[in-house]
Amino acid sequence: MRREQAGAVRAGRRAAWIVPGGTGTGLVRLWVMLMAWLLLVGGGMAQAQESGPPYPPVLPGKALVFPQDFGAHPDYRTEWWYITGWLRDAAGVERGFQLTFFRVRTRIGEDNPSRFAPRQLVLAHAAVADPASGRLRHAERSGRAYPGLVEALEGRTAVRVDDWFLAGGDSTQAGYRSRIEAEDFGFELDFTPDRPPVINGREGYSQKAPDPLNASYYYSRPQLAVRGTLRLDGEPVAVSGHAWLDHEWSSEILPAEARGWDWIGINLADGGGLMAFRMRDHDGRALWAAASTSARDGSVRIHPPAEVRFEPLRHWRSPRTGIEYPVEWAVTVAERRFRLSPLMDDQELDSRASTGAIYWEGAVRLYEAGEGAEAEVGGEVGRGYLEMTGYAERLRM
Amino acid sequence: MQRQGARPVSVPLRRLFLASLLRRRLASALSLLAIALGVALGLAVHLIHGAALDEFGRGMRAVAGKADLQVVGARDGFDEGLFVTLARRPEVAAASPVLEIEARLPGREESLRILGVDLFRVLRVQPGLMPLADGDGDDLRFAALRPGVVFLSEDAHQRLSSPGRSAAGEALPPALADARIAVQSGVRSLVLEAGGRVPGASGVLGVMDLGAAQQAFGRIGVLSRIDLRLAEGVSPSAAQAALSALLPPGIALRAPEAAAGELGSLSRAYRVNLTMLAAIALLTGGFLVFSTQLLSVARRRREFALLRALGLVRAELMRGLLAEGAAVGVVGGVLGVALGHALAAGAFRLVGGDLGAGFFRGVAPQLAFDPAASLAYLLLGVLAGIAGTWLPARAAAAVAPARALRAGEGERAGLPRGDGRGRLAAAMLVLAVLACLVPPLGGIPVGGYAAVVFVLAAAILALPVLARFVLPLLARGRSATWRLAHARLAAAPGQAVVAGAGVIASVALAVSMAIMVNSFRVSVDEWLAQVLPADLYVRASVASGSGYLDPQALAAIAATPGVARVDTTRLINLRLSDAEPLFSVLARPAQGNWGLPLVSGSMEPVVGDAESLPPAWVSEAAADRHDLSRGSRFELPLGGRMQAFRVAGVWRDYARQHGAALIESRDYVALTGDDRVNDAALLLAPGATSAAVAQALRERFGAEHITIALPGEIRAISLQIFDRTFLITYLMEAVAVVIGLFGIATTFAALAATRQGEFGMLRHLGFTRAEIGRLIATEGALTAGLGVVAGLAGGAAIAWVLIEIINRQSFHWSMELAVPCSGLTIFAVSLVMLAALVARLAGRHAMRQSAVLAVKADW
Amino acid sequence: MLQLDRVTRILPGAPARVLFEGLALRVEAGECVAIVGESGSGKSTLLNCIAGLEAIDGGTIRVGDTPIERLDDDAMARLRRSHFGFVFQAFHILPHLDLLQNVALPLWLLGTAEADAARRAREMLARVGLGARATDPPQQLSGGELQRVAIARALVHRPHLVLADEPTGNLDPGRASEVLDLLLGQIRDSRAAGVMVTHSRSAAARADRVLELRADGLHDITERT
Repeated sequence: MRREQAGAVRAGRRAAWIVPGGTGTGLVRLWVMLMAWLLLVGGGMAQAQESGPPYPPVLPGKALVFPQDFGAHPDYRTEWWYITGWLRDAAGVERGFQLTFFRVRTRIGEDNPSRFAPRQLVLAHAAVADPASGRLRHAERSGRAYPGLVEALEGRTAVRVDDWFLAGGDSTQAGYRSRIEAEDFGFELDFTPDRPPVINGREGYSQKAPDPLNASYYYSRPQLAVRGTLRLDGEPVAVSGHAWLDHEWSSEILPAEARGWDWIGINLADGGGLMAFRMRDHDGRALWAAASTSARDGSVRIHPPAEVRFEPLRHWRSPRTGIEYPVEWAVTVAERRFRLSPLMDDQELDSRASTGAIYWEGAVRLYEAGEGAEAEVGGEVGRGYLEMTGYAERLRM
Repeated sequence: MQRQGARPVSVPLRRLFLASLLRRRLASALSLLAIALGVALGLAVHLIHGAALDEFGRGMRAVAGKADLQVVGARDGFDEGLFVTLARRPEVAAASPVLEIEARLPGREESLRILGVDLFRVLRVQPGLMPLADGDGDDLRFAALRPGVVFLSEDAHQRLSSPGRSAAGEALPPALADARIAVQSGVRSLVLEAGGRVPGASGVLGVMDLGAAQQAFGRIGVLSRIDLRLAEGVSPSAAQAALSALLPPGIALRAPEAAAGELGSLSRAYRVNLTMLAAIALLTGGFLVFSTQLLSVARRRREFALLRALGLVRAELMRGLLAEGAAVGVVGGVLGVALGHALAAGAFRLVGGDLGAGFFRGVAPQLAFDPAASLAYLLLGVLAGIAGTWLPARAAAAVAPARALRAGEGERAGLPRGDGRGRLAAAMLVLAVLACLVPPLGGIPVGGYAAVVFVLAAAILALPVLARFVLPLLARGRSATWRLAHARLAAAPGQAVVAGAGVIASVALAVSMAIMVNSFRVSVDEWLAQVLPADLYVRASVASGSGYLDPQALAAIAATPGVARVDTTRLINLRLSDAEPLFSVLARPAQGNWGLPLVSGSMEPVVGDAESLPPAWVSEAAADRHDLSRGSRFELPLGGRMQAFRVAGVWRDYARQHGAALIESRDYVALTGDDRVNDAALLLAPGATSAAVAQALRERFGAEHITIALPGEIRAISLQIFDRTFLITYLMEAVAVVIGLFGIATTFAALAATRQGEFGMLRHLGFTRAEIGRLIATEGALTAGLGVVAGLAGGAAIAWVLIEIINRQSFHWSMELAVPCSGLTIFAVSLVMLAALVARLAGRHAMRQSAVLAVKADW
Repeated sequence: MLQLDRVTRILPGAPARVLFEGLALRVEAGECVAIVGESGSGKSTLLNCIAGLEAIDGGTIRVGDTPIERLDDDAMARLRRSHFGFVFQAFHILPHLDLLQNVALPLWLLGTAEADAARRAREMLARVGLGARATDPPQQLSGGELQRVAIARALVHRPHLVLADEPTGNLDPGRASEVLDLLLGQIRDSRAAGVMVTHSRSAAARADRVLELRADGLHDITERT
């Protein structure tokens, strides 16, 4: 149930590290300020310059309707489409990939007839985890919404920042298509769902913290079959695999006492899906947690905070930043115990030079585990993504 | 022989030749100074312009950043629809749209260039424009996109934080106070918050959000520029080929450097003019070296004869003399280079980098030492020195020692005899006429400049002839000094050439410029009277600025009591082709309170036009450049497509050098939908006073938002600007005249030294000291008088060339010849008197010498 | 016409040197006096003192009735232009004037009308035998001819006193004799007083009186020459 908040925090995480530190040159700093503000949701926005109606609150009892809710919800403060997954090429090499489109309503210039008015911003972020190179390749694009160029359309999934796009969701059966071209990588992928969306929380209302105002609307698309091409160095190669899509929109996110979170989205080998997260406070204790499990037949089970537990097993220290991340976990969801193990240790995303964010986001394998932390590990039961934020510094909200 | 020829000349060089320079200190110093001034002026013009252009280019590069190509259109901008089209093209890696606003600062003289940019795109194309917010804390996150926030470059911050000046020239507190600055949009003030800096930008500019800028300045849907970064592997030329077809008429796709090139070509004619003036100063310096060397050589004839007799080789003599000239040139050149840099530095401080012509407003250039140009100008100085010595040296080397050693060879020997030049002078005049027929080369009136040189040469060559004609007319005086001076000049006009050549060159220059500037000024004055027939003019800001009058404002003006009629002008600047500078279009009622000084055609549209095209009246520059006359068809890119007009007339326009066309307001509004207006001309109702109407308008709009001018004021201001523009020309004229006077001084100083015997004899015969002084002064006056007469004649001819050839071809301006007779008379008379004074001062030395010793000297 | 009384000239310097002292001389109209002396004896200085171009340190010099030592520079110049004629060793004929103009120069100074001046100069040139060459430039003349022109110039304005400093110094003996004859003849004809300084005894002998300048005064040596 609480996982939804994680997505919201994802947006915030980048802002978190940068603002206090102030990195590098003035240009970067300003850029970061800008990004920080764009992505930061929560306090400090009460500015005289705000224009247009206020952000609508996220309230329970509003059923999600598809395909409309596949599209953008421009009235809300933030929104994202978040795809993570595993790819395998003809040679059998497996890699992780991630692609996110953020939409932010700024409440700036809503009274401005200019098409350039920065009413809505769209930001995209993509990364590939390649064990052969031992690091993440990542890139980003951002822009103010401008018809035909930078968009987050309503009615179906259609987000674009220049030549990067994610489109699809014309119906609950329809697939998605995306294309990313960055300097040192690129991919062009088709995503095909085998089931209707998994509605998280209460009919899509997903609480993020003890205060019910910290919530989002949230659905997931587990078990998307992926087919397409991936370019790392040289020519694009054919790849296939499975992916996970989260779509979430909200107006209020993190509570002040949150420091960071740990989130997983796993496609299970049996065709099911597992999403779980926990929100940590400043002492590293769980502030909130939630999970949903779904089965191939479309049945969904929502887990309350009490049923979700994250326990770190092994730590890895980044040689770049000196930050220590728990890269292996024992995760308990209701009666099942799992063990998480990364595709590679170094999946830290250090983008201080551009956006300034430092976090860990990477491909992981999920194993069945017995009772107790030291229980022996069973076979692999799924693959997906782990995201960890708030290990570098306190979130500054 | 060979060994002898190879003998190092250093010892004789030092003892005999260079030492001679030190003996005649005054003459050496003055010729050196003349060369220094010529070099300094030329170099200063070059440096100032170079630095300004560099600075502009630097500003352009910072603004254009990593852009490979730029899309530019009319000054007022173009429809933003093109942006998406280009941004989506595969050739384009990143496209950054820019809206450029020349923001008027209400009530102030200066304005602020504001670039409306998309921060997300600027980073990838023009990182230099990335703003940095001031302060710290949460507020920073809002700054960059917030409307009403402007980020200032360091230069802008500095400029706006220092006390300003009102449009009327009064001192005002800094425009930027409490991090707030007021700018004008339309006829309203808009207070912007200075949210931070643009550390990467140079020049006086501000950056704000594009969307906010479009809204704030009423330019919704308009861009001024799109900067493109091309995809990897796409060459600019390939992209140009692929993308040009997508561009509507009036929009150019070009390399960012082209803007600097365009500016360079804008100011090129003006710069070439100034360099010409500097060249004439240098030429005068060369003449000066010539005259002093000639006299010095003449005086040293016996010395040289003796040296030759003692075994000095002819080539050594020649070399030694040339070394003298070169030494003067080197020292003068070095001095000139230093002075040139000092002048340029001073000019930057006083008038900025635009040399008074207004091409580089807002550019704050830094002076840098330019080794190549400095060396080039130094060499020019040396060349002037050597060239000036060449003829005298050759003459000296050619003299047979035996003859020169004979006693009684007068000081006249070795001076040009001053006859037989009439034919050569005539030939020069013919050449000048022929040169006038040469068409301009690349917009530079090469033939005109050649004609100036030929006329100058003719004037100098004709001096002896002139002396023969003029002197008999003057042979009326009875005083001995007059008779002596007259007889001396009549008998030795060659000497007048030597002394007067510098005077001729400088007088011709000064006179021609005076006539040209006067003609220009008179024509501008008449033109202003013609184009400003209304009672009162209202303007929100200059053409490209952010102030304008919208229909509501116009209605308010029309409703003001006392206003009988309102006529409007909309001025826009279009791009006719990629290469040409912007073309001006004025949209206004053709028959209204605005006058149009037609030079051909008529105010009536062409009747029986088969295409029934709307009429247009084009300026002379437009007519010249596009070969137009009444009845021609002329297309203008308006409203995103080419619109044809029928030329009804050609008018004189001094305001827009690169061409202008006037079209009917209603045609313009119908074609573009743009109903904004720059200027309104008001005709007052009978009984209404300008002052009362002006007061009412100021109260209605706020005095700082509009400029209200009476035709008389506009005229006065325009003429003031005119005079300021020509200030530097006056300065250079003054320098040339000073150099010319140097010529008189050096010649007379040298002559006085050689004529001590003569003066001594005259003292014996009963001349008082004062009479000797008067004799020298009279000779100086006569010599200068001849030079002035020749200079006046040459100057008049050069003025004609300047007006009819050089100005016409450089600026496409026609003007009526108007000779400032009284001014020239005063100038000529005072120059003659000054020459007398200078000659007398230079001859002081000779007068002091004992008459007794003087007659002893065996001359 | 010219009267010197106790004229003394001391050359400045340390120590000061008495060049001559207590000179007395009287020259009547129509009389021509030659002054000889060793080099450095002060012959030319004496001449300059008479011309008022050098100051004297004692005594009086009268030209006609005027004591010149009281005159200031300009007054002396005016006196010279009306009463003096000069002949120089180096001729000093102005190269840019023709012969007529050169001769007319003193008349110009006196403000004589152009026509009158030209007529008188022409007559004078005729008297020195150059009447036919009045408009020639001086460059075409020989040294003797130049000195004839100078003599014409010295006498054209009918001066009372003609001073000649080595008039034959730059001429060969034949020419010298000719020129000297002309000079003395013209001085006598015009009833002027003449003072000629020369180191040539033969030249001096042509004068009416020959005086030798020594430090203690002028000594008549006419008989001895």
